[in-house]
Amino acid sequence: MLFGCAARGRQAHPSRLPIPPLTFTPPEPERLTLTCGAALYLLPDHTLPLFSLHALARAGSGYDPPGKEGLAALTASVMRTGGTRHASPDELDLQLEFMAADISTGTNDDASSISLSCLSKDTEKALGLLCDILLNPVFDNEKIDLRRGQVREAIRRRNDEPAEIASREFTRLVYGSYPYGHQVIGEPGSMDRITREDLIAFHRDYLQPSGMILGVAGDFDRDTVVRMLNDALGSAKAALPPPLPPAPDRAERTVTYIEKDTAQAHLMVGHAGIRRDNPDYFPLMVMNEILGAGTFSSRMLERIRVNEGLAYHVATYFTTNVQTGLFYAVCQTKEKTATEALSLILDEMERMRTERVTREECDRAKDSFINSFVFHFTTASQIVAQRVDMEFFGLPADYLKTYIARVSAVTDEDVLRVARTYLHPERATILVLGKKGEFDPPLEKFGRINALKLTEAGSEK
Amino acid sequence: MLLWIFLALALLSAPASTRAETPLRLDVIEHRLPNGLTLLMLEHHRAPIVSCSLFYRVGSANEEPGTTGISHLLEHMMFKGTRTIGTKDYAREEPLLRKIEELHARLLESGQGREDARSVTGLKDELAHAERQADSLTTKNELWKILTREGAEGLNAQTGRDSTQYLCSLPANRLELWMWLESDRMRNAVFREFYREREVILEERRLTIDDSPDGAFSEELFATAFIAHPYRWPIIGWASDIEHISPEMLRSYYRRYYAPNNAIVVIAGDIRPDNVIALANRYFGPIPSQPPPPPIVTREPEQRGKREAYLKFDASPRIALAYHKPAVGADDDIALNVLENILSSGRTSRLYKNLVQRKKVAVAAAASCPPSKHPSLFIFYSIPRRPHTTEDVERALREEIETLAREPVSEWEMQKARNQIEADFVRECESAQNLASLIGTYESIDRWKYLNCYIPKIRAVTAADVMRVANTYLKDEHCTKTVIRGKQ
Repeated sequence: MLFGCAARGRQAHPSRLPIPPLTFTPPEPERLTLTCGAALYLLPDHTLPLFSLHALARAGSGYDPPGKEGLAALTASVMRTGGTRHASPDELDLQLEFMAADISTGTNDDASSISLSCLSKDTEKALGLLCDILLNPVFDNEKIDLRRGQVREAIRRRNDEPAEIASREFTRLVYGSYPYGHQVIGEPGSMDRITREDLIAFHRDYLQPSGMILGVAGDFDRDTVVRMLNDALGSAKAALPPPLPPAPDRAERTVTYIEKDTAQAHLMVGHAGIRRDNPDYFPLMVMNEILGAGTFSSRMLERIRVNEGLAYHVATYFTTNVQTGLFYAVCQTKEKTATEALSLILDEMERMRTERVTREECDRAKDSFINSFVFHFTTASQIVAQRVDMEFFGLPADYLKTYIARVSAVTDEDVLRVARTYLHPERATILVLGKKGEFDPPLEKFGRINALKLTEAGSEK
Repeated sequence: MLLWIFLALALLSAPASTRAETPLRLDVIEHRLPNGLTLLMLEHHRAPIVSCSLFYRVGSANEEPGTTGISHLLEHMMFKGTRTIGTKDYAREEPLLRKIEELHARLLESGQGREDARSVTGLKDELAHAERQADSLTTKNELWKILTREGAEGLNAQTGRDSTQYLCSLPANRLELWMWLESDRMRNAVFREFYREREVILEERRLTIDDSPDGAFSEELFATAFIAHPYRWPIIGWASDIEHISPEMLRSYYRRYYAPNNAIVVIAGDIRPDNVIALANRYFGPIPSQPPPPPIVTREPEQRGKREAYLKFDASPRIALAYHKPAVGADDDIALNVLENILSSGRTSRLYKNLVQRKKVAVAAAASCPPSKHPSLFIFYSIPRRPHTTEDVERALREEIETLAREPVSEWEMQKARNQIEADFVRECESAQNLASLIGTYESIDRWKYLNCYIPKIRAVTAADVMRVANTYLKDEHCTKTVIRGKQ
């Protein structure tokens, strides 16, 4: 170590470096209720000439009627593209794109979103268009057909990417016929059964502004924006759609094999997880960080990638929804080492349930959440979108204020307890996709194999 | 904070409701250390964070046939630690690492028939033993663990054709920690766990190329469009080359390219530039510079006739048309950026309007014109919509190209493109992380100052320029067509 002596003031090890104190008061968005009943978060920030709006509605694909999978996503998409009572689809696009404004919609299991980003000089005009799209969409037939055609093509192509197949089939296996079990964009044949009237009704029942949570950020005048939104959205209050029923929790181990001619086997292991508002969220986050979410700081990656060289990607996730989300581990490795990797995954899940994590592991995971907390507040639009999400998931208003204290309070005992409560290797859904006949030892080691066959439009037993 | 002359004044004196102006200049502070290291700083005080990027001016284009993928392999190995980080006792570990290398070399020779079976088994046992011993002296993933524990976000690295970047954002009070760790691995990297990491990269190749229709497609496209220039091989390298790279090759590559005079440090965020300069001097200053790396001399000869590649893959059809285009900094490249926007940005773009909406031959169609240090490709990419074929899509794409070469773009479309490119530029300025990456990317392929003349240059592009570049670059004899033909 020559250069340790050459540089004055350089410590021999980084752990000895002084860390100056960091004082920071996170910006606090204002929250108010619009006349229509919608919640609105506001955070002005005049450093850049930008304005953004983000809104969530309880209108996710979980509300798709059986047989009409994809209705929520199609409605949100064509609400944006299908024109309004005041502007044709083309007029809307031309006006928005000429001023470099973007209005986009999206859908997931729980929510549909509508977002706007524009230069602040165009805020009033762009906001006017956004309200018009929200309130007065006409769902032009040609635009419905265009989107339906794109969805059909995407469904036709859904067996192109191994990772996409694995994740889709895994979700379906865990949820079965529960509303989170189907694909957000739709299922084979479902596009043929959805009519324009379905879109109009879905918009009426699920996408009314009164039930939304909105957030605005950037270079805007508070009073002007509040007045505009109140004027445009009016005072009509619609009933909020009822929450989805709780998701069932399946209770036995299954092993599913999908044959595809790939260079790697794609593995998924997991089961039902937690709701976003679960009181054990913080200990679970710490537990999962140690198990497989913490990339190179996690046990699974260290064992499977670093020590054994078996895979490039291995990680665990808890997806958190309004209702029960998923827990899963995912990994890709050559067929020859697939069963070995699978055993290691199950083994690490089991170890988490039987042995206490070390103090060092627990403290490291907690420190990483505590020290990276400032990254929850890097831009005004992010700060506001985060508050919109929090309210959507029913988190308490002081969630961010108590975040550090709640992470700090997690103990190794908590980690063991939540691992025992929420990890279930013995009744995990196991999914393996890959070339036939190259597994050593054979997959039967994990249970009786249920073979799924891929067909053009999806898969069947 | 972003500074540009009148906004800085406006912010100080104006009431809160005053509209901010469009930022067209980044006030980057540039400093060069005596050893040649380039330090770029941008103050951005909105959050108490600091985005730190280290760029090396080396990527797959600097490689040679036989060792393709070495830049990317080096990027992976840079996370394995140094003489201080990642080890419990380097003095004891070092001879073991040497022994492991020797044993691997002997095993490789034995594969060529120079040793008998019994001695091969012996070698393998000896190797396993040495690896276990070395492992017991390793602190696994220590660099990563230190940084994430201290709150790192976006910790990652990326190898490109022209540069390799190491990215990390930290709470602002951890800047010195980053300087310590990053300067340490510029000089003292130790390539422990080399052979296992090589296996990991082969898995990465299977995942991102062999089993990915888009990955395999892109590999095929570049390998066909270039016959001489090193942009022709994949960034991750050919599998057989990766298998052949040894730690010694890696060390020599590391010494040559990971030198301060070949490095750019970009620090954006809640910083005081004088403090950053002092820290950079303390940590990077003592690292000696190296002879400048050899330049890339090969130029791609002019293409004289259309090339076609058909890739058989278990996936649905897709098509790309690629045309040679100039390097970053050329005025024609700016005009091609405007052309790219007119073709494929948004629902009013020509490709969306005509291929997706009107003719309905495709579900998606886009053009891309990424900046590069050396002349590269302007690429059209499209996914046909059944029952239409890749031939139908190709015909429709060529009609668009012919129209562009024949008729000037309307003033409305030109203005729309300018507005969009400007607004995108403003959006890029929202986060310190984006800015650090943007500044470093441009400095490594041209100069960061390019960013400050980008918008004025975009504004100067005329419809006649767009028509001229369409005629000059989008010629049939300069075209490489790549098609995936799968389960049709």
